[in-house]
Amino acid sequence: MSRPFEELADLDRLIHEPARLAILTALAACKAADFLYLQRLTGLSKGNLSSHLSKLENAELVTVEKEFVDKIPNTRISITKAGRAAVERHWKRLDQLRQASLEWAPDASG
Amino acid sequence: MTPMTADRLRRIHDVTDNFFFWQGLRWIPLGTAMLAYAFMRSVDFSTASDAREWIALSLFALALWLSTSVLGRYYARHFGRVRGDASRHVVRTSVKWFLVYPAIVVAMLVDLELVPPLIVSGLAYALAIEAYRQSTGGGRAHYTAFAIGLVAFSILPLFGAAPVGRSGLTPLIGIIGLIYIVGGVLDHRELVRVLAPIEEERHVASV
Repeated sequence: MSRPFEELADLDRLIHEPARLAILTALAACKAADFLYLQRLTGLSKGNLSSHLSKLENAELVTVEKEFVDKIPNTRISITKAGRAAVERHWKRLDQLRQASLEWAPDASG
Repeated sequence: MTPMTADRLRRIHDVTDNFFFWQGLRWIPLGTAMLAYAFMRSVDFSTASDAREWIALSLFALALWLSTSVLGRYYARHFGRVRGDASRHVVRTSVKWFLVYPAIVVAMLVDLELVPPLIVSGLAYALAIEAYRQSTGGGRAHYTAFAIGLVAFSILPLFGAAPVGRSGLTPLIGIIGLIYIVGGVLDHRELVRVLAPIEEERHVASV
């Protein structure tokens, strides 16, 4: 059995990055959220958030749509089916790792 | 960037899932209207009771407009927009419409018609408040404190310290109004904690 710390290396880096994990966790709890909401949630600058969203969009984990709300441009972001499955799988994996780290005895595993 | 701990991510999930309910300022107009209504019922004004009912109705209409239109726009402009997923809350919606609201109506009828030695509506509201807290993202311990306070108020008549029946319902409406106001302010504070102001906004605010 590998050590929990070694298994950490197998985690999907694209999702595990804290800001992207926060974005996907939020989007998994709703149909869509706008740019401002995600910006307040993560505390990122506009440029940084755009960069993270581009990475997620390129990986087809989210979709980004521009629309007008009350004649004001608004960017709406939704999670895709693949994105929802990926973040759920990721959280499950993190829970398993947390459990494994609690049960892990350094001497027993070498 | 705010550090992302497991607790924070859980809170992010819960707040996004229940964004509307965490927009605390929206509840303040309704609470104020309830407080005003309770005050109008308890003070012997020279106005006719019909006129008082119309004033109350206008107050509630104004509260509804402030809550949905004015404060709705405020939250969208400053905190962003979230399109909720109703399919995630089918059980909550069913329990609310088929259990909680009917239970409150029945409790009020019991208080008005049977005049029991305690305020049954207060107990029903206490349960509803705690159910509300748990079903809209948890946290917000102030709601548990409000529920305990309501239970205490509801049993006061058993010790002869408060009226029952119709007279007992008037202060109850006022207390619930106060709960909406205080709870709303505290909910808003919690929301600001989760959705911290962004740097650009902080800069604008400080200019």
